Amino acid sequence: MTCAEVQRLLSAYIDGELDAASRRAVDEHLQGCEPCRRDLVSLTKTVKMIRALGQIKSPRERST
Amino acid sequence: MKELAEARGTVSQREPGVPVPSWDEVVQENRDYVYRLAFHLSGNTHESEDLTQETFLKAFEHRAGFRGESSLRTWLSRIAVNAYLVAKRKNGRVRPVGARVESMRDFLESPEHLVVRGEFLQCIHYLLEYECKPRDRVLLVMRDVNGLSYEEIATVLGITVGAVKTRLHRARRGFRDLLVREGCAALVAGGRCVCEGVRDL
Repeated sequence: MTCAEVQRLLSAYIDGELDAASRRAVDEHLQGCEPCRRDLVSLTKTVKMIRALGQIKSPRERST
Repeated sequence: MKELAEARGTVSQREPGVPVPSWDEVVQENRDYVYRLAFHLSGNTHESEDLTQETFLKAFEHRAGFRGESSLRTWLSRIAVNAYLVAKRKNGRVRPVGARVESMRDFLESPEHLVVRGEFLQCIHYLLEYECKPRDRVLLVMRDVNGLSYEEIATVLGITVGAVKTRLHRARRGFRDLLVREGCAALVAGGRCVCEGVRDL
């Protein structure tokens, strides 16, 4: 897999939405590619930050 | 209140012999879910009330069209998302002066800010509400904030799961670029952000 191909799959990789073969291919590429690992780390942090908004209850939920 | 005889999907999700729910019951069971989605889409309490009301009004008007091909929640999500996108196209959003403070007032008065740092949430919320394209925001809110599956999102948007993967990835990369542009300390070495919540990630 090329870097461009791997980077297109990183979002689905984070969500566990890749099939086994694609996941293995991404894992193998990541082991030897520092730029793609950095891309994965920054995308994972971004997803975590957005997910943190889900911890906020709406005003209606807070009142119940 | 009228019986929701047309909403066969709600029946199919129940055990055989369980009576068809009334419209009141449908609203009661799904009101918090729809409100939560509307709240994170619109970003404020006033618009989320309107969006929730509009969603149930449209759902009631078009209840005969619900065939149970998706879950009732997915169907309601689709109505809410469409209503949100139509409203955005119609009205857009003007970024008010001091929006970061105003839009987060409700959140910061809540106990949650003690757990998740207010500054961090304020930053994420602001970018999502004012800098993110509505179509990207819809994807990020459905997947990352409300936890819908790729399949559910595909049904809500009427697209393939493959298209969800592509668009979600584009939306997340776009959001990351926004954070980098803002100098987010979690993503940019020497970033000017002083948010403790981000630093904890």
